[in-house]
Amino acid sequence: MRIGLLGIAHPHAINYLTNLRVAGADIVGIHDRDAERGLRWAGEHSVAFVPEAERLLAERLDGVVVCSETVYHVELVREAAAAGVGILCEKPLGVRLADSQEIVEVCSRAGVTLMTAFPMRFHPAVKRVRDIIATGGLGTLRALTGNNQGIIPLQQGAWFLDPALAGGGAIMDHVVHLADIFCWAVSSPPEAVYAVANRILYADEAAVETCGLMTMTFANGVFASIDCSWSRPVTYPTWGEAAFSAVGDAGTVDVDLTQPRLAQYGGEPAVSWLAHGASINQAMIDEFLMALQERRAPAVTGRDGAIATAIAVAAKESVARREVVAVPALFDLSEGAAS
Amino acid sequence: MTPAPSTVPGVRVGVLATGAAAAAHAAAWESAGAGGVVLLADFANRTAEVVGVGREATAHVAAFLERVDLVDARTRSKDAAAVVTAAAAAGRPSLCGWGLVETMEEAQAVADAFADRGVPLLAAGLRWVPALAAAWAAVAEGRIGQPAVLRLSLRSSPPVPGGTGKAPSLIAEQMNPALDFMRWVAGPVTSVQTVATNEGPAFALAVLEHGGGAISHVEASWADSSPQLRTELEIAGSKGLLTFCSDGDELVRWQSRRAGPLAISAHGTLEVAALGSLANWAGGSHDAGSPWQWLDSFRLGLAARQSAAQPGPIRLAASAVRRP
Repeated sequence: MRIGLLGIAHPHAINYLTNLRVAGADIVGIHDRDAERGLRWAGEHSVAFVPEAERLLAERLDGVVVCSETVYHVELVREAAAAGVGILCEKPLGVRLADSQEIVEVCSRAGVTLMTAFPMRFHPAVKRVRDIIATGGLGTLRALTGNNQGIIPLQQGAWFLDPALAGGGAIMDHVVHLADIFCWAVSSPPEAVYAVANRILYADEAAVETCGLMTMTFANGVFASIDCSWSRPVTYPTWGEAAFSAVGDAGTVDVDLTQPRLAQYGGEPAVSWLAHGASINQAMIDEFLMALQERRAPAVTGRDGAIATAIAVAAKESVARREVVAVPALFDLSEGAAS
Repeated sequence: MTPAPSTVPGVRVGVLATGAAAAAHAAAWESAGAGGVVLLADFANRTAEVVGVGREATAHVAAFLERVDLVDARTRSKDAAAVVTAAAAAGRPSLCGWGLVETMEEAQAVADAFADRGVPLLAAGLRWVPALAAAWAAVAEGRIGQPAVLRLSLRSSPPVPGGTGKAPSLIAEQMNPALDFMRWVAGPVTSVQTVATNEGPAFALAVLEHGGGAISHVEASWADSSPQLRTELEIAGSKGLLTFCSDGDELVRWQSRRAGPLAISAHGTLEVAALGSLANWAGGSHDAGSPWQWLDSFRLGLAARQSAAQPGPIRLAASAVRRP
């Protein structure tokens, strides 16, 4: 498969490049709107740099991975869709709800594959929990609560702290993963969101919220909460946390994606939890390439990304209005998988 | 922090024995080394009869208060408010939960009874659990800077085996101690939003805003299968992060080929709280147990219950509570 990268601003770009190479993809080149940054990155990772996105897209690509600053997703997806190239887009899909909707619509109109980069969906424990819920293992599902905190992305991408480029702070960065998993597990449209936030942490460095908590309700009566805070100190042993619990009439289930922990004491940093086991990024990239090859909808669609982004945008609005905010009904969830 | 004693010598504790929880409370006090446990029991109540086996008991409030130094009123009872009001009049400090009364007016009357006589009303909350008290002290000492986001989860099986419990009771009995702790650590609460189950197992989530800018998340659950209370705390501040989980309190892990794996805790949660409360009381540290703090936390719990019945948050004024 011939693959290009559109934008390398997101720190996941390097992970995805490695995953694509492991999967045997032919990395045709990368484009970045910041030519100096793009050239340096391309040199460091032994890939060709193409100054214009249009030129890279003309290279008979099968797919692209969009890893630019969030605000540029929509224009890059628009170009890729026009070129008939399948797309894996980093999350959140857009900085505004309208951007996310346009991303889904242009791909749908062009008939190209659109996948949202939600690697947690590919964690075996997450899939197992979803199966337990879907097959009635918990009885009637009542509630979910999860936390997806992280270290503030000061080093890898200062643009995360620029609301114009990222659309917000911790809420836009971290709500979407669990929001997507919860929508997947609940199989009912999200209806409303209530959120609170502050920027006590890194008040001097960030103009965006650095801590956030939200509750949400679904049409079928299930409710949930998400902690999306950048509340891990920079000395934390790993990137952050991802854990959630589900409560049903017949039981509860808990999953913590940072367990079991392989700890290293000593060195730099002083304590680390080392990654081990199968890579969820690899599983996600493999699925993207398979979906392109088999000309089918991917396991995680653009619609999934748009719904999760709509929840994050509603959470931001709730913080601003200090009240419960309705999540717009973007799609009929009973339609089944599509772009 | 004053080191907690390993036992509670000499203190005679009176327990309102009106439900199954009373047995656990009485056992915890005995295990903590109380000088004696006296039950105030209505022996028409079958549960009380069972709890009372082998223990000193009386059905008369005056006689009960004569025999004790401290009253444990953490169990629910239709007469509990009257008993603690009588305890205040008799000069007996009382450890009170928030399920004691239903309305703000009733709570105000209880708080007034203690405040008017200068008798300690000890809020029966998590602030007495040593690890959580140490977390509070760490925050107070500035070890993690300004608190920004807090999380506290309390999970167990329902108090009545085989039942599910109801969310309003869960909020009053399990969530309220957590709300009290959050208020103690991060300051007065200005808004609370709660979502809770109407059917199935009792489960509730609350999101708080504190006047100082911090935000908090509280989970209360009777959906677990284990009666052992699982407590998980996290406080992220501008200079660091505190975390605690009671999952790690098993000092002995016994792999029995007959009974399967058995975890043995150093102390049960009730016993730890009993020890902590007595240590603070005996040490004269009554500040954390003032009637006004108990009343403020009752008001917060009431707001959490009201929020669960409506879509939006409940806003709280700085304090609606009469101060001495």
